[in-house]
Amino acid sequence: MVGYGLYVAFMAAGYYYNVTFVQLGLLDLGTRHVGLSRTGVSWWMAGLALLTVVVAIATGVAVDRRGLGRDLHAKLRLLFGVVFVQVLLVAIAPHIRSVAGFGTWIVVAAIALGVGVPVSFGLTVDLVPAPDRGYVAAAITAAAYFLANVYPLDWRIETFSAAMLAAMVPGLVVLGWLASGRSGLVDALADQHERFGVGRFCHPEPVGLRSRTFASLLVLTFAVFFVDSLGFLRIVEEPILVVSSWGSPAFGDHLLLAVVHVIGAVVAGVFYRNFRKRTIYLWVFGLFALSHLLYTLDIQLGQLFPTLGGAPPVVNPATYAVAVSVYTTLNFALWPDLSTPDTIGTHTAVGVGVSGWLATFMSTALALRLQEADVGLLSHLNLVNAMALLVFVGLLVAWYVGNARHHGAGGEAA
Amino acid sequence: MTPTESIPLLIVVVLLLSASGVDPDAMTIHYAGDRDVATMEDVLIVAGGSVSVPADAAIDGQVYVIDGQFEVAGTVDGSLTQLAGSVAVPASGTITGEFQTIAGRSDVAAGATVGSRQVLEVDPREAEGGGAEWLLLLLQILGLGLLGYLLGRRQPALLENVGRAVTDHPGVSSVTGGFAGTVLLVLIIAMAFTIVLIPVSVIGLGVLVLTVAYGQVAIGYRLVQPLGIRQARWRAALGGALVAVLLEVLGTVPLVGGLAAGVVALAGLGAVLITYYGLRRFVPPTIPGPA
Repeated sequence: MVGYGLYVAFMAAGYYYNVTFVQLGLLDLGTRHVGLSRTGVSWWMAGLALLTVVVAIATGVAVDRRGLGRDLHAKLRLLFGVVFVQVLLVAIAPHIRSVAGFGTWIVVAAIALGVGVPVSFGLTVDLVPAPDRGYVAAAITAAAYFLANVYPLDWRIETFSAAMLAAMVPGLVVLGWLASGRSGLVDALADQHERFGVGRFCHPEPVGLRSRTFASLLVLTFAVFFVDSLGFLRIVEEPILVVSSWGSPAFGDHLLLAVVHVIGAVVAGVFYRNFRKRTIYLWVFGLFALSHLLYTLDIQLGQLFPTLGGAPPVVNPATYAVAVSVYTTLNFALWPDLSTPDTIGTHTAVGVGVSGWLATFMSTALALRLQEADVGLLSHLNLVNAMALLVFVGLLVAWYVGNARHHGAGGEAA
Repeated sequence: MTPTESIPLLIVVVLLLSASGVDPDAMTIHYAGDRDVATMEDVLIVAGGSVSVPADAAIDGQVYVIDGQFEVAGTVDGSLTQLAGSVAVPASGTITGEFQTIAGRSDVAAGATVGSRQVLEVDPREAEGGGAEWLLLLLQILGLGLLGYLLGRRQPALLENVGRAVTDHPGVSSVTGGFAGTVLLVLIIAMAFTIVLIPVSVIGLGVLVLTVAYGQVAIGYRLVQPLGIRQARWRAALGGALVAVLLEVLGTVPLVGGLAAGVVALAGLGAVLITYYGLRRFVPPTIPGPA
């Protein structure tokens, strides 16, 4: 249980840092303090994504080649270094005023993030047995999104910085003690990867990086992150769409979304443990399609009946929040479950790096570019909805064809 | 009533109009503000604000009131249907056709002229409980009993699979039922809002209700297993009826009763879904791990 607690705390804190400080704080820093245009920030963020992916993969390969996937002490020392750098970055960020400073910050942050991905995900093989990974992933998602929705409500870099520092400094002290090599607790946990380090989908044979299974899951997860980010970045820029949800001044609205995120995470944990991967992906894309359908329906109704215009009902952001929680939970559990202690570095780096970071920031850049190009809200959301529906239907077709092949092969054998 | 809340009633009106062959393009909808009406298209819908037919004016067509206020001081040469909101017909007012009130407040002055008047009366004593509630319960018992009888006679293996999923995997069943039920309900309502898909949403709602009922029968089928009833059809009929009573009793328990009844119903729905309507036995994947 101690291992579970540590893992959930590390991962939830890391994810909270990503979804608040990096995704929202950087935009505020770049536009308000540095004086960049939104498009300018979007290019910097795309650069951050690319560098993060490169560093993550390089680190992941190094981790596996040096056998660090089996060395809990080494992973904790690396993680301590990452968090130390991030604490400095968080403290410095609100004081940046120049493009050069902003660019330097981006480069250092990308390196820290890139090293952090395989190292933090690598802890899974030591701390969480395969059968429990869905539930633990749900706990991480629930904790990170609950906190991100209720605090801070003010999306300014200064507020993010203060909140992050208050959480990170004590965490850094604990991590320092664990990484120092003086903790008997770490010694007790260090050999657990021998018993449960092999992921759920690596039985009877490990999944290779070049296998069709890994590639198809990489493409699907990339699509999930891309669809989510492309839609959300536009929704969040429209005051009327967020006035009763993410942009609401009322704490109750944020609390409601936070609770919905927790419910979504719990559902995803149960689904991950009890159903096949394809079922969960179908739910994710189906939910995103439904969510964008609800938003576009509202906008179209508003155009037909102008007096109906107003904040969309709470069901829209709630559906969105559930979809996000489901796929985030999936992401936390999936890549370690496609890995063994000898491949955890590379697999999680490629999985999280390409599907998560690259997709999120590429879509962020695209969303901002579309906005600059005066693409209308309805057209933008229709585009996102079309993507979600396309993948949803594609998955259904793949499922059907797969079953047909399976039965066909059985028939021939018989 | 907010504009968004009035949409379901608007859908009802559009359905009624479509059924009567009226072109929805000929509708005029008033949502907010004050307005005097002297002329109109085929149909006027009052969905908010205040609309008045002045004493010296005469409008020709059908009027629906789903929210807001409507006053007929002049003449409505056609019918008036009130689904909500308020309608006032002073002594100077005339409605040549039928004035039908289904809900909402209406006030027709003594000197007013109305072709025919119909008010849907609800007996408050019935609405408060007693007879109506017992009748509803009886209908539920009979409905679930009959469904159980039919399923038990033709496909008892399906009931067995669904029932087993509920008792062997209550967590998965409940979570799946709650999640899928909520999402499907949202989807059904969203389809209804498109107007064009209203028939599909009505069918979807029917299928959802039947699926929930199926899950309840399966739970009952499993519950009465210890009684040793040999014939599946009678076992399923009794089980279905018993679950109807059980849910009713649970619902009377303060605070947690309604929640518990909801969880039972959702577990049944979830079990139906995870077993593909009972066609397969639900077996979660085996994940190798530490002993």
